Amino acid sequence: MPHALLLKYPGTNCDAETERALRTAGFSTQIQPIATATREHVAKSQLVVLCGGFSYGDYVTSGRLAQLETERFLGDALHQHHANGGLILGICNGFQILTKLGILPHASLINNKSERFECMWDKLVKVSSTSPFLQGLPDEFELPSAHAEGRLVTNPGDAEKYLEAGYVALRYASNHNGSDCNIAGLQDASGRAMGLMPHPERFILPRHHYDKDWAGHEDWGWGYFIFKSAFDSLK
Amino acid sequence: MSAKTYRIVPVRGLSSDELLELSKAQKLSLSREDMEVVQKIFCEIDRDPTDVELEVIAQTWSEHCKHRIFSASIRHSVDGGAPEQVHSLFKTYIKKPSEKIMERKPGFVLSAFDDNAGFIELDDKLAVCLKAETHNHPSAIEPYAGANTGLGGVIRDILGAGKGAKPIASLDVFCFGAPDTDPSTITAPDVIHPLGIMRGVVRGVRDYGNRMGIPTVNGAIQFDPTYIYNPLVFCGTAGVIPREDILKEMRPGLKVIVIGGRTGRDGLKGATFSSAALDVDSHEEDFTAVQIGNPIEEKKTLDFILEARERGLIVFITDCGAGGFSSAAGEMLSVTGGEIFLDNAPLKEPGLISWEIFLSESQERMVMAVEEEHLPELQKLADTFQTELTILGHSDDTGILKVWHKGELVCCLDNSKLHDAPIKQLESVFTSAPALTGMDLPDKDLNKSMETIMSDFAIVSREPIIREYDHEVQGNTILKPLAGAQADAPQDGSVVDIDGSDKCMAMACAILPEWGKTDPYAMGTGTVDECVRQLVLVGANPDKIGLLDNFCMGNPEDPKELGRLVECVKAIASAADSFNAPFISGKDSFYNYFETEQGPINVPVTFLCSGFGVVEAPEHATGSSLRRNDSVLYLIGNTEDEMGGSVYARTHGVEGAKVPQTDCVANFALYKAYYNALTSGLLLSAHDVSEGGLAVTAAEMAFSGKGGVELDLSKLPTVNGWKSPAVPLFSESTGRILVEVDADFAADFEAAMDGFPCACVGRATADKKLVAIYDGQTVLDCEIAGLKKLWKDGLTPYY
Amino acid sequence: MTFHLEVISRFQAAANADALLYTPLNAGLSFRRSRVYTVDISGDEQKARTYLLSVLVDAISQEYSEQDTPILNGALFTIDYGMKAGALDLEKEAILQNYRGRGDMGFSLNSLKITQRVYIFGEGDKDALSKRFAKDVCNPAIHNWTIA
Repeated sequence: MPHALLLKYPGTNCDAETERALRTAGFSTQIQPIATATREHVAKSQLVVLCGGFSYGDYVTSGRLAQLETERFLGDALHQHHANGGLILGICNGFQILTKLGILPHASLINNKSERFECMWDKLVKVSSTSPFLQGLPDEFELPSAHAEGRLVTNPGDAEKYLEAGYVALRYASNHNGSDCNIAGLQDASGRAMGLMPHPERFILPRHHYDKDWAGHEDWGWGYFIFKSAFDSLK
Repeated sequence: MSAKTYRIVPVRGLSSDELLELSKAQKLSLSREDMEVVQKIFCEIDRDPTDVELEVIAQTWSEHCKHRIFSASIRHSVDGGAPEQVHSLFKTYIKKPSEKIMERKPGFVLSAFDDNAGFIELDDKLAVCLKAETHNHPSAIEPYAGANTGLGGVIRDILGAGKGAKPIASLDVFCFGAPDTDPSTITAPDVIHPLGIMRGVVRGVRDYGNRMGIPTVNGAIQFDPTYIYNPLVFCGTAGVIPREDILKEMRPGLKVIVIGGRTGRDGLKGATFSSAALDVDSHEEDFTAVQIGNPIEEKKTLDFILEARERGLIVFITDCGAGGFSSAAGEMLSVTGGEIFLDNAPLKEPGLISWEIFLSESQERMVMAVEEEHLPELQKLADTFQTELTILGHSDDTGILKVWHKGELVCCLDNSKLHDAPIKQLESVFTSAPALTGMDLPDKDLNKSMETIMSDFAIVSREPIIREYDHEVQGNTILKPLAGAQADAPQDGSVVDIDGSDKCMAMACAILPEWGKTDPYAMGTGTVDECVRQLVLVGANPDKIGLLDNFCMGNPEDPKELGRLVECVKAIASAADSFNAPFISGKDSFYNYFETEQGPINVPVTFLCSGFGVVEAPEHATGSSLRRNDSVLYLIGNTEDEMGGSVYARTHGVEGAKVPQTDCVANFALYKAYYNALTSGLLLSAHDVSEGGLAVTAAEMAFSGKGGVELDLSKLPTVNGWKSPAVPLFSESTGRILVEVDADFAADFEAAMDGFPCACVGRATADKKLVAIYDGQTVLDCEIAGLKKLWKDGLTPYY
Repeated sequence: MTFHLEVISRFQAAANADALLYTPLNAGLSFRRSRVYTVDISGDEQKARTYLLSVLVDAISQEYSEQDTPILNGALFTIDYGMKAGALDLEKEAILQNYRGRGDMGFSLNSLKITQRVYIFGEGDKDALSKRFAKDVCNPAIHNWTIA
């Protein structure tokens, strides 16, 4: 059974529901606080997940301190895991951390254009056709978002290059946070590492949708298929 | 030898005047009578107190901790009649009726009044709890910090409930001045403009709740000029716990540990401060009373506690709230006895003297009693979650709490010999106000009236604020505060899934301070009614509801102010009894008044009823947004000529009108019938009729975007009728629900509601308009899009 | 030595300054924000500088100046405010906790002061306007501030 490791930093707060989602999709799981995480924890996992929350409060640039602490406690274990064919998924704060760790293409997630925290649902467009995380999803789907720092910015011209090079996994249909090229999710060249701002773990069942008459899928919410796709690719 | 960290305070030889002076000089907030009892206690044990002991007594007897107004003996007189004597509002009108209800439904309430929060049964494995607190005075001085520590504090109440409940949802209710208040009307210096209060408070709740990962799913905001000087901030949090972890009991031989933040001077004198009125000097003098919360510190504490509880390592736990270590140790060690060593407490800064360490209310600390053999495992957990654990002392079997510092005994109090605080004697009077019906109402242009009401601050969408709160973290919010086909329509309550159970929990709240200005009794029954109605409406089982009472008022020593409180408390006792829904926890906040040069400004007597209930199955969760454009609409409950306290009356200059009267017994039967229809799958959606009346209810249902609404006002159930069509449109009569039913189920729904006031009053239409017909004439005809824009944009220029 | 660092976003344009106020002025003023760090360092100063830049600056989205003069010119006035003694500065706590957790890095951070800087651009009576903005931006209950 594929095993998923969820790294937990002080301030990580979506680990429980992300673990629940992973188990629903079939993974065995372990939540590991970073202070006691080891290379062995990473080595025995097929998927490493960095979950949502506010690591170390995100009082300096979001994800920065978590990046430094990950490097302190785990060295290059995540890069090794990735090089060895493992999957890495970063959700919301986890996406912010992954961009800082250099596992994803060079980008930053900064304050939303509105300068507010925004808890709302986003319509998303699937861009990557090869991503192991997106195989089970339709071309357009919805997920809930909740962040203050979700505006993806790059060095001038990079966002367009990422689109062309296939580094963009997901785009917003309507760009509420002001991201360059509407980018909602990035992946690396292999597709085995993906980061996204929306929260798939919050839309596992149809009843998690805001509209009681939602009829996109009979048994599951769209978020389920992100975890299920990852599971199927590892099976 | 180092300087003394405590001193002896001679009290035995002081005169009554000198005692009062001492209380003032030390900022003890104790009255002359209190100080005389303190003197008596120390005369009996034949020594003078230390400053630590004086501070402990002052804190224990403070209004914040002892609820001395709710325990007072009150001579209450109504309309000049013979006075009655009320011995303790709390015992008479909150505790006793609730205990009676608990006897009627054994096994439902698992803990009430004696823990940090009350628990009700969810299923045979789990229990849920709810607690709400106010943080008014700190929020007036520093809104961001006041609100974030307010929420942080109530979350710790949940972490300290039972052996550590898991916080799963929060609600926040605020009372502010209007955000467009003309600054020149605020006469006192240094008072923060209501918009500054609102922005700060919302951001404070946002930054704490979001970082803690607890969804803020429910709330309300009231705007009224009486709140300019004393804004009110209520924070509530619900939790879940395995039933076997509710009961906790101290025993001798346990280690007392503290976990989380360090102790500093930042948290001094909060408990007594919150029992005092604000005045123009508050801003200069009391800055030390405002602390800033550190949510990540608390999140680490939460992670530690939940893991420790699951591993069975916690024997007893409580938060370090008002009174700090003093109240936590008092709660844990007052029966068994024990010793606390202040030298062990980790400090933020050096040089704190004994009483400062013992009484400091620094945030994010939790105190636990644990077995000594578990200390290594607990220490490992603390290291894992990167939080600080310190052994503070231990319990023993002496019955005496001893506090040591630098090798000296700085506090030694035998709880059994400590007299209770003297009972306050208070006067209260209440004079009924006129309650007019059949008035000539301004009803020439009802479209314009509708637009005025729809864009009033009382009604407009709270969306800009709701979106700042993460209301979906934990992934369990199945009825969200904003829903409907466009995810932006208002809902009456929230429903959250509970991990590990097939059942869900509903949360709702109601607050109607405008009504209490003239009819506080009607405010009491009406508020409880609205809270219960919302809970049942969204799917809660009417037999499984728990309620919380939170009161705020101005100066209780003003008999007229107190009279309104007494009337309201009597009302909620009767309402709880009628709904068979007990109060399981509550809190009160007094002295919310502000001395200006023109005299004191009191907040109106403000009663927040928040509640939670068991939703038996997720599919029972019912939203308040139209789902079809060809369905039929039923109105449950009678509409009467009761325009008092309504948004219509306030915006149209109608004075002296009768405030809605509530027959809770009749309404409860109605709600049960509704619930049967709901669980039989007979309805599509439902929205309660409250602020703004039926017209606003219908418009808000249509804000889902699916269709319009057509109403026939002559069909509304009523007993006494009305003269003006403004009444059926805008009256806020209680006990009413507008229900959307599929036309195919109309007959079944009518059968289910047979014998109750319920009528088909209209239908959903494909035409996206709100139309009302009265005696065959169209009296209201508005585009839904236009109304929605007014409603949606109401707060956006300000927040 | 004292290390000065002012950090500002590359992406946040000047916005209507009325957003800082409780009642709008409609005076055509705009504002930008930056953060100013003043750090007292001893030991290996180069290592300290590298560490601080890695923690405090995001290369893609921010630019910075190590001068003790404002990074932006032409403001009508600036308000520098920070947490007063005894009031918790969460960012400072987070930085110092990270620094302490890493053990010996060859330098010491002896003190760290974080100042929020608000630049107000436009025309008007500097004294009256700066008082007005300071009243709504800062709170004497938790802040110290200076106007320049």
